[in-house]
Amino acid sequence: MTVLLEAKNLSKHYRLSHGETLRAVSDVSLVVHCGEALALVGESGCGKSTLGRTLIGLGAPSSGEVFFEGERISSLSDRALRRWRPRMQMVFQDSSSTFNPRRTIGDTLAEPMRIHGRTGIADRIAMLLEQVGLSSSVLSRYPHEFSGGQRQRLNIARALMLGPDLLVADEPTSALDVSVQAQIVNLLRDLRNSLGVACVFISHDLAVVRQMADRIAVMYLGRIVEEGDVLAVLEAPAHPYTRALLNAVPRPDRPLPPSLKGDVPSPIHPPQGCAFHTRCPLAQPRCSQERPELHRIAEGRTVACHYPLL
Amino acid sequence: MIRSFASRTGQMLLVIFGISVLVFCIFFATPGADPTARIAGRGASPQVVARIRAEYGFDRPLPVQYVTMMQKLFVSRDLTSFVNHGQRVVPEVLQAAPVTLSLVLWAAFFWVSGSLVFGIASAVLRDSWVDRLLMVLGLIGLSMPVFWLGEVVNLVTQSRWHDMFLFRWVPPLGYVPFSQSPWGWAKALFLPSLTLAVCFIGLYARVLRSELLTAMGEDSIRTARAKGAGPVRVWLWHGLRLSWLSYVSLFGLDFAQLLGGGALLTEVVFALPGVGRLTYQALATLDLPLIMATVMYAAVFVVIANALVDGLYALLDPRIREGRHGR
Amino acid sequence: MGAEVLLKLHHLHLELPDGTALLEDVSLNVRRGDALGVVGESGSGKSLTAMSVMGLLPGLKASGSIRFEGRELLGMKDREWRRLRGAGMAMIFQDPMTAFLPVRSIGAQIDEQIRLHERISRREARARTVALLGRMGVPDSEAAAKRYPHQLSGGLRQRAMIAMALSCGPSLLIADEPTTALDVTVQAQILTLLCEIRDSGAGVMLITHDMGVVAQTCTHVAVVYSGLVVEQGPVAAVMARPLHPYTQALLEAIPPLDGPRPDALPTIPGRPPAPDARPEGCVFAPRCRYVRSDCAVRPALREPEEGRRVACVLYDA
Repeated sequence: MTVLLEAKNLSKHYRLSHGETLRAVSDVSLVVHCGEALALVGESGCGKSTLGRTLIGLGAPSSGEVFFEGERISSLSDRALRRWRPRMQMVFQDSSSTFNPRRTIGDTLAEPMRIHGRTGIADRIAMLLEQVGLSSSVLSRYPHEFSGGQRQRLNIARALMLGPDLLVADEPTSALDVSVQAQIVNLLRDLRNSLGVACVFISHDLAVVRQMADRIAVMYLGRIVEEGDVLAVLEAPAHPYTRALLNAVPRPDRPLPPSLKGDVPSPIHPPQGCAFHTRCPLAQPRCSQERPELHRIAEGRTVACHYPLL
Repeated sequence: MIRSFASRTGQMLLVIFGISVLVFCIFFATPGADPTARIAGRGASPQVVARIRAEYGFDRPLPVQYVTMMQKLFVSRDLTSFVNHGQRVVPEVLQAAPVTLSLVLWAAFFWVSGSLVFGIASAVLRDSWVDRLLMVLGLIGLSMPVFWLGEVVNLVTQSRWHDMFLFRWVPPLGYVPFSQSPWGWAKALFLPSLTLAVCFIGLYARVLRSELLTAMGEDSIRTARAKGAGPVRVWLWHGLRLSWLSYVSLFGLDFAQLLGGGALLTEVVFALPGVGRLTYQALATLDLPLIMATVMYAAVFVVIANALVDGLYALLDPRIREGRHGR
Repeated sequence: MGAEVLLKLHHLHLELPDGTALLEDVSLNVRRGDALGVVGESGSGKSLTAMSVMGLLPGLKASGSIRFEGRELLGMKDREWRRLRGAGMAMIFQDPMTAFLPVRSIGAQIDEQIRLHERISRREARARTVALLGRMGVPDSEAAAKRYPHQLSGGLRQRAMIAMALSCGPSLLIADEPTTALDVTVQAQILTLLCEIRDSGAGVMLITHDMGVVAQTCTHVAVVYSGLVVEQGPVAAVMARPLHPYTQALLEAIPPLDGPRPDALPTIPGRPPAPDARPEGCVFAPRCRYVRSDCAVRPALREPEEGRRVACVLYDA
């Protein structure tokens, strides 16, 4: 498989007003292959959204590099990046704020094509609307006339207008009801199969991720703690955090599990050593002193834990 | 805490410095205008002109002129008006300040209490005829020019119906110092300050009404009701706490600009010897030193009031205290 | 089963001043020591049901009956209802960040609720607040009481919210999506806390969209669709063998966490009807896979099995 996007030692820090630093993403390296779906998973404040944006050049990284098809895009100016923009698109969680309420759907959908000087706009729109399961009668209507699920379909159509090679979807289904969520999950899966577009899904919902992704990267306080094939990781997690996350998902088919203690620590003052040791049920003295590096435990599986479960 | 206070003070000084430079440049460094002649006034003798030129250093570079000016204004306080035959302007301003302060304090009392009553009443009774009536009244108050209203008040209370029992107590136009007679002071200021407050009551009642209604839609108000709080408590205790911020900031700005001479028209109409009237006179006679002094005085007040409002903000909202808003 | 019925909604109907019915017909019971999960999608009326029990919906016209501890709430004077709110029944909300007043400390807001209902001194109220916060698992509760909502984490804020709700010892706790704004690991903690409250003898009414949450915390469940209760029963039975086609579809739409990965998730076609465009007959009929001619008449809630009720023609004897 050819590598589409690669991040090397990517960090994103924010200076706060009190002279403190918020380490949203620290030293993350990852690879997205052509046509592959990678899921970034974690709780709020783990840096998954920041990482997703930084990957496609929305905000420069504090350090580290991003390569798209082997070319370094992380240090490019906004102007130079414009050439790459059509190939990387983003779908946001809140579909209602993505659309300008005063412009028709047709107008909004055509805009990216116009900006990049493409032709055949009408045909492209008709084709994409069919692909996301909407009729072309929507073009003259306004965003508020649609339900959340329909808007998310339009949102996906908008992101696909320029025929991107990479789609970054930030919590694409979490604002939706269960029945609608299933529709959008299916749609994204179908589109990926038919268009061969690579995806980065950012989500906190492990069940949705399992349905949509090939590989999963679990993040905690700005770092990847475990990475691997999604089915393998969720079948037998190697990191205690992944296991806790998996256990905590409320399911109709099992009782309430014992929960992790405490809250996620602040990314302004992350704990020393392994960032998870303050909540880890298996923590040893070593965990509070020495930070575990990501290491390979099996083919295509890496984990950052001194005492992995595998 | 001390650090933020120090930095705040530094900022204030910087702003005042900026304003002083700006004002100085407008009046004294405008190309083609000779400030000496202006200070001296029309028809001054050549000796006076020469003396002024030397005294203010108008034959020296601009920065020196600026320093001289500021020194005369703030340190030696002997800036002199030549239009007004040697009157020292700084004591003049300081003498006028208590008049303005009294007027504005009274007005603020009226407009805050009035707008609280009207604003809360129309928010509670929203969309009823009471609400509509109050808002129309507010709009009328807002759109009545203060000089016109003042003249009407004068006409009614000073001449037309002065002898009627209702207005018999109204004293003649002018100011009575508090130290001379507190009762006379209050009587002299009652009508002027009420007149000044009328347009503010309308504006503030409207602001408070809309802020209150927005606040009443907040989740925390629903919580308050779920706790079992009664309507009075929900509106006055919870609702007001949430809707104070814009009210307070508006108040700070208006209060400061009125103190700084914004009550000019009211003072002129009611013949109150305040800072506004002083500014008015200075402008009428193009008395440059006096203009300089009143403008700087106003700037200082606006800046101080702004700082006080920010402090009040921090008291009212703990999120601002920590330098962040919301999540 | 034999426990005393704490809250009984009987044919509750709620409409806007213009006559649009938001709730068509909601009947359900909460007993002491029970937790009733009210499940539905957005717009189904599950939150409205909770709000009408609390009497927090001024301007809407309610009919039917809401009986709490044997007293009829509909038609009660607001002053009396107010005495119940916060004392007899209490509510916690979805987003504890916005549900607290941002400009007052957590402790002051809990003290306020206590002092609204009981004549005790500030000091006594604060002592109880601190004890409650401690019991809810807030570390260093005395200091935490002095902090403002934005200074606490989401989990601690929700714990404080629950402490406030429990401050006057209510017999009914209504929780409206209490964990939706929280992270999964924190959600599990809060759900555990709710289970403890239920076990201590209070009645709990949990409003949620998440079948998993209901299954793990509730003893009974009521499924709401478009302003109507379509199915009701003990949680274990409903989860194991849902009767109503809507309940079945809802459960199937949840992506699996283990086993084989399906190519496509089962979905429900279409979307719920708007309140002013409800079908004459069964409200779910337009989306139902078993739809047939007699669905044109609205089915009543029947009891085909002991303790289970469902509104569907499939179970008409």
